[in-house]
Amino acid sequence: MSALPSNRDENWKYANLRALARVRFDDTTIPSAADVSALTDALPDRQHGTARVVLVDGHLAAGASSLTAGVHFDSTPGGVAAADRIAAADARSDAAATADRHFASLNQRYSPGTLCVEVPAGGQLDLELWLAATYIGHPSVRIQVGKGARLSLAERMLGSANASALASNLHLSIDCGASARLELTRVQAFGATHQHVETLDITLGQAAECHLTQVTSGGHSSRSSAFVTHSGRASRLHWNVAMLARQTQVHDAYVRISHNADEAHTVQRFRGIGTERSRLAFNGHMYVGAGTRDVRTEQSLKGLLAGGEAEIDLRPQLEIHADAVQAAHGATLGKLDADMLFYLLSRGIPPAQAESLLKWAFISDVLRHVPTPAVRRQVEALLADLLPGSAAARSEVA
Amino acid sequence: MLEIKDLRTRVGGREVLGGLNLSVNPGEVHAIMGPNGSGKSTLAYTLAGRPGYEVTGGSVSYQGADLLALAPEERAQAGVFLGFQYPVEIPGVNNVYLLKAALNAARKHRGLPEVDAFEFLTLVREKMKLMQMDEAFLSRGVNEGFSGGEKKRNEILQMLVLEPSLALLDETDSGLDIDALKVVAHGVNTLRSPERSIVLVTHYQRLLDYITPDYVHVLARGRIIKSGGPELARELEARGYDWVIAEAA
Repeated sequence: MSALPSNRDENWKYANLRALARVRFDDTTIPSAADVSALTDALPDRQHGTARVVLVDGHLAAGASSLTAGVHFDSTPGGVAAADRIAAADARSDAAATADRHFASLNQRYSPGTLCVEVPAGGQLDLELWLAATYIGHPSVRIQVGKGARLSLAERMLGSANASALASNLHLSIDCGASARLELTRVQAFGATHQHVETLDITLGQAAECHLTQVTSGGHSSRSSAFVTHSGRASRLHWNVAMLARQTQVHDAYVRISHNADEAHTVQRFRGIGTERSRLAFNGHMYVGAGTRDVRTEQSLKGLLAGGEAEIDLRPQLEIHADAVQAAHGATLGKLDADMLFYLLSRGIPPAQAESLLKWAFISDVLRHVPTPAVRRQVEALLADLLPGSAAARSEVA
Repeated sequence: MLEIKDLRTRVGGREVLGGLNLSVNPGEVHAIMGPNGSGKSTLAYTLAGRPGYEVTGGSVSYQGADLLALAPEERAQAGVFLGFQYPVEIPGVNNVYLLKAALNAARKHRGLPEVDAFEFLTLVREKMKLMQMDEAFLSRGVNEGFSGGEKKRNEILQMLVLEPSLALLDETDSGLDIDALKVVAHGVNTLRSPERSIVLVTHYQRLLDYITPDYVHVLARGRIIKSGGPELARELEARGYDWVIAEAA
């Protein structure tokens, strides 16, 4: 078992490791039926035609789930078996790689089982995945999207409102086969005391396409480590992340995208808003392997400091070992645009509402790239709750 | 409606308005003309309450109240409208929402309930037709990707929906071709009424071919140095500003 990373580890420089170090990740229990009911009873109705899985502290809440063909819970303890294979595909063996795998290893040790999702070749599945927390959990999810298959996965994370010490350590492993299409929408909205850490491993086969949209707004602190590998020619990845932090929240993400195949294409957008004494960090690491041709990467990282003593750290990284590459990147950090703000005020919009609207406008740059309108509306509704006064500015309102 | 006395404004540490006086009665249209840097836009921004435009002296009374004591949004809610020379683009906030939020803010100020959705859309569609604007503009981000002329039409559309008591139009004619100028002028003329006042800031006389002002003022070095009727604008067009400035010296 590797040691907990430290802030001296480059990829963990801005993570809230002090908070994570206080969590007893081995102190896992089976959630009580009452706790499970309290959480699952509050879930919204399932979307028509969509399968639903609810994991509570990593355990399957069978009563609240509606499994379908290709979706089952393997209750063999031990987490994602494929994790090491995917990590190996990343071909890293340095100290940083060891630190990056620490929490995946913990998950593998303490997970009560693995949710397995397999979409067969040519198949199609719409799935809601609720990851709920009542105490300390290690949810483990393995997904395989077969050749030419399509998976729309809406992943929601939420915590019990009445618990005081919660933590979750998620390991999500996804393998997209040739010409597969994955639309993954992730919303992290844990409660105010929650510590969340996650490891994502995603591989993309030939001509596979992945659209990921992630909104991070909850928890006391969160750390996301994502490792994506373009292993097949002409694979496509859209990685869109919005983070909102307030009070003393700390959100930190490290995303390493390895382009190990010709004509791989990645577009990455990050928009983060920090208020009060919060801290946000996004480290986007684009790796282009030797011998690849015609890889394209586009990176746009933007932070908005919206008052107080908030801190945002943006780090675009390019590591290129090939010649025929197009790589564009940009990172900007700023405050609310004074001209835009005055324009709204001059129309009689109250200052608080005007600021919410401008924050909405900033974040919407990510939302507009969610390909499915219904999914986009769901994410917009969530953000509208976080940005009062902006609800009716949603893109679908006319 | 509007009474400006000895108004002094500093911008970036420099005094731009140096004792400006102007009186505007209900129903009147005043044109403010003047050379570059004379303080025309500063006057409009000062009245709208733009941060960075520091009033160092004088007073502004609007409908009997101290306008300068109000925050920018309060001035707007009270019926002061600024048509921008360079309207900003706000991607992600759609036009229809801005219009509705602005209208409801003004209605709330007047103690009225929020506008009904059907009634609102009917109103907006009527005004858009007047401004010869496509309804597709409603769902686009505020001024996002609009041409210069479209932005100016959008400003006038907002004005028509909000029906302000006092409209301050800052070089609304700049960047417009002759057809767009006619449409914009038609929109402004539609708003004219005995209860409303309009202050037009402009460089050129051509706008005044379509919106006939009651008064024309020449602003130079932060003060109004000459006032007259519509004929003054024609004289300025023919002779320029130098003779007025020399006359006032």
